Amino acid sequence: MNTDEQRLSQLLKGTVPHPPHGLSADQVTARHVDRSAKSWALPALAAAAVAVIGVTAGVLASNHASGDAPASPGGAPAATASKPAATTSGSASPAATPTCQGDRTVPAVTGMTQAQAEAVTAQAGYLVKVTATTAPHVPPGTVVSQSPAAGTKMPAGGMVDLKVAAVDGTSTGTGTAPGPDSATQVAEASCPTVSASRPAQGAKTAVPNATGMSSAAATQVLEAAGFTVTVNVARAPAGQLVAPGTVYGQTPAAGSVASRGTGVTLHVAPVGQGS
Amino acid sequence: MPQPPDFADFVRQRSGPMLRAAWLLTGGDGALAEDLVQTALGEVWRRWDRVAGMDAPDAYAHKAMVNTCLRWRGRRWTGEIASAYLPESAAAGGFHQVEMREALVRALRDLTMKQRAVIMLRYFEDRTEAETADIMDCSVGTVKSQAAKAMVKLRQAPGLKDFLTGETAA
Repeated sequence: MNTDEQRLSQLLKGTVPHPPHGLSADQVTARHVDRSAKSWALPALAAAAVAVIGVTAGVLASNHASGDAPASPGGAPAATASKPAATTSGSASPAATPTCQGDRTVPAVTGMTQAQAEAVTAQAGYLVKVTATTAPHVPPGTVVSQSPAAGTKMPAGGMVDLKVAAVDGTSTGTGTAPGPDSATQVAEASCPTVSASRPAQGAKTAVPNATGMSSAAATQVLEAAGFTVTVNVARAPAGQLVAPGTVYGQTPAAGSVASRGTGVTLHVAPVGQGS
Repeated sequence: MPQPPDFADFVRQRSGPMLRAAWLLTGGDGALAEDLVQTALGEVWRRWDRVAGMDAPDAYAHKAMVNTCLRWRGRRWTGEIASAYLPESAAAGGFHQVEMREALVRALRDLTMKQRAVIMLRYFEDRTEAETADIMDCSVGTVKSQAAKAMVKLRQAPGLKDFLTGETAA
């Protein structure tokens, strides 16, 4: 190596800045999931376009046929296929009408707010498990990563793990999130086979666990189970890592047996202020 | 045989050095450097089952990064909104280092992408010409000629000239 090459080498090593922080695997995989979501959006659109063409062709064909002729076979299946397959009670919102059968595709929810992600995942027919995590650069309450990845085939009713950026934005990495006892809770998807028949008022039942859900999702689940819900927005006890807008406690406790119609109070972390 | 390393550990260990190398490749653009490293690590992640079993997963990651960057050449970056910058850590190095860094950034931006890649691999990471050629998927002759052209430009760059030719004590 020549002298000037040695000098250049010395200059580069002394001058290139050290990054203030490294990257986390979550950042990398979250981006990758975003991209794969885009890549399967196109085939989905193409499929939708084919369906539209099929319906149009069917309509044209039946218009050509004489008035009392049977409908063209081309149009009818396409039209019925677009109807929602679920035939549930009116209690569930339109967003939550999964059919709960067969393999489905896990939706891409990374980057959404927790509430959006829960709604989308539940709509797709899955259960949601939310874990608070610390993630630098990510707005609190945003889904940082999901498992399984978007596009994965999984039977309805399967569990989708979501990692959500917590309010408590310490920069110590994901390893410091508290154990499953405090932040990790199972949210129940509103599967119509479960909530189809709303039980009679007054019957005794176990209170579902709402901890870890967004207050909207928790309210939906508890009301579907026949309870009346009161939301109490208050800061979580010090030291507890809670995503904003998330239920961190409930009275009566999950699993306790109560009459339907009983009031359940949800303790929800406030949105839009640091802890 | 050692356990295949966990991807999260790999990112934790390698992202720092990769970010520094990417800083050079992108001509001192911290946000773009972070983008580049994330893209390269995404490539690694997609093939992690295979990469984890390699002798040198970090070499694979580096190759992915350099090749991504060479593909970006001439392409306007339209993807991400920058969310994090490498701060100008003036306090750490003092005035002289900041001055030299600015001169270096200006000089790097005058080089072609390929020349920056050669400079980074040869003089920042001290790789041999053969290794550099392997990472860049080109011949050793190309590495030599690109390095020579880059040195000519750097020797004439204002602010670096004196340092590289040794005319003033640095």
